[in-house]
Amino acid sequence: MPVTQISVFVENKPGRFAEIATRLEHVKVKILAFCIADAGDFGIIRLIVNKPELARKALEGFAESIIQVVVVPITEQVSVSKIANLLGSKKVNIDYAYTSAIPINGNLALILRVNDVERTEKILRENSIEVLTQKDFE
Amino acid sequence: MQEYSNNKNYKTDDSELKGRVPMESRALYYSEIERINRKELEELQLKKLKATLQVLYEKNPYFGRKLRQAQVKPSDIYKLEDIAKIPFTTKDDLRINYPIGLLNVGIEKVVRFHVSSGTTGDPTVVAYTESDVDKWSELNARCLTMMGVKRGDIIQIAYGYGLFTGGLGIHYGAERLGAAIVPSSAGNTKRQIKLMKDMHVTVLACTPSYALYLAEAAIQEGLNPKEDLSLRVGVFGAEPWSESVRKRLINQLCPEPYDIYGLSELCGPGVAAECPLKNGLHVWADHFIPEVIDPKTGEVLGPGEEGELVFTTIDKEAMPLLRYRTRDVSCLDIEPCACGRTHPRISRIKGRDDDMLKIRGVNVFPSQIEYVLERMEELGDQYQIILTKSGPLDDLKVKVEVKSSAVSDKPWDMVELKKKVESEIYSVLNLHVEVDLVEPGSLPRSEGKAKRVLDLRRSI
Repeated sequence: MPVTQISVFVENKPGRFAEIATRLEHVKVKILAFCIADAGDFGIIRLIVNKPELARKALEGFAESIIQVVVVPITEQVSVSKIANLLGSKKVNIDYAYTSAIPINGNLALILRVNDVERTEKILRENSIEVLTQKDFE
Repeated sequence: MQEYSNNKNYKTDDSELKGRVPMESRALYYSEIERINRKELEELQLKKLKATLQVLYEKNPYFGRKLRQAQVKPSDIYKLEDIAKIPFTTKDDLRINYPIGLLNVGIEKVVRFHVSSGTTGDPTVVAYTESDVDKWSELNARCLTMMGVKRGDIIQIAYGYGLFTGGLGIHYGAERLGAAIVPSSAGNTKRQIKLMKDMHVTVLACTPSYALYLAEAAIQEGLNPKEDLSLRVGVFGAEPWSESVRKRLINQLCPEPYDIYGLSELCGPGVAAECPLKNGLHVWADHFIPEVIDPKTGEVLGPGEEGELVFTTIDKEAMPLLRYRTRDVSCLDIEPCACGRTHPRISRIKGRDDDMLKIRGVNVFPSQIEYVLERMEELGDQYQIILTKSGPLDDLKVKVEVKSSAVSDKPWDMVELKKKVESEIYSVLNLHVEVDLVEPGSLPRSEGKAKRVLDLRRSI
């Protein structure tokens, strides 16, 4: 089971990210990774959390949607370069990527937005690269 | 007096008409009543008006009370002009009676509800009996026939199907006259274009702004709509549009774009439409009595005078309305039309009777913007129009709340949405308006329309 990324629409003004973080804190949802992509007057805050269902409830009132992403722990053996090169050689296009804000199970993780999540995970696993699932965050 | 029913002989059956009517003048009437002489039409209207009034006076608690308060009895109506004695009905009357307080028949007689969107407040519910749906279908068949749509045509209906009246209204009319329907409903532009091309669709029914959007999208896909598509007729309504949009549609999409008018409170599309002369829209006056009034005084205006359109339904069962104020701005033309139809014409709708804004020399009705916004699924119900001044020029900006269904993890997609809204507004106003997408709940909530316009021009 891949990992859920929540994408929240926010206006580009002070306090919006704080509002989201505070709401999640109130319901004891942990932000594991985030990334803010701006487009002028507004932006999209992308979040990976330990409890996506609960998080979405807490964010009620915001315009938000979810998609699935691939999450790979970065280790001594599995470097960012190794992951990128493997996917490149298999013609998997990475739309965007960011890293976790805190270690997950001991390692920082690379979050990958790709077109075909299933195929990407299969390629990684076939090359003995660990892929995290939502369960790993509980 | 002769009762006019739909004369089946006037259906647009090619085999029947060949040899009887010269090819070039096969304007084709769906029903003989379209050419009824004016005097008979007025007699028919008076008779139906009195019958409608009688029923409401006796059976409808709300209208009965209103009429008594205004001291109007059905027997006070001797001639058509006496209609001016009847009090107006407004959207507020519908809201007070939300959802079905104005229902004039038992629920067992109702076969359909439509619900108009709540952009300007609460939604309004409109009910139909079997006979109402039947008559509505006929009115749309009349409109389509008037535009030259006939058996053998393939009509793609890209109005929304569902609570909105647009899709189903045109659908029933097209089915009635025997055209082949592609019920594509709204949205999924790529598929719309593919279907139009592959099915050799000859008639397109949608909003004019969506028609322009389709043309642009087809061109972007490398098609030349005028050559690669087979469109002949466009049935464009549900929002006001101008002659310059007509020219663009002719240049880019189809040779015969027609305007069709209606509003859900009366039935939906099919209240009025253009004939091939395109000099105003014929109102089906055996079903609706049109009036134009001064919106401030309520006084009835004469032919040619611009004011607010008012309709009385005189052939509806489930939810008849007396002198319903549409807030649409138009004027009445009672001169006979060269097409042979005797039913009066209304000029093309300029917008709703609300605070008109003058922006860079262009008249802008806030409702024109509203028409565009309320039809885009990705957008919420709330919007705000902001006027500012940059140097000597006025600037208009629209803030609109987005819905979750619009949110993409890629901001670029949202920029595309913003551009799409801007281009749709441009197609209606011919004016570039900057659109800001904002968070749900961020705009001030207000009951009335006036507060939707924020004028910052003087304070800067």
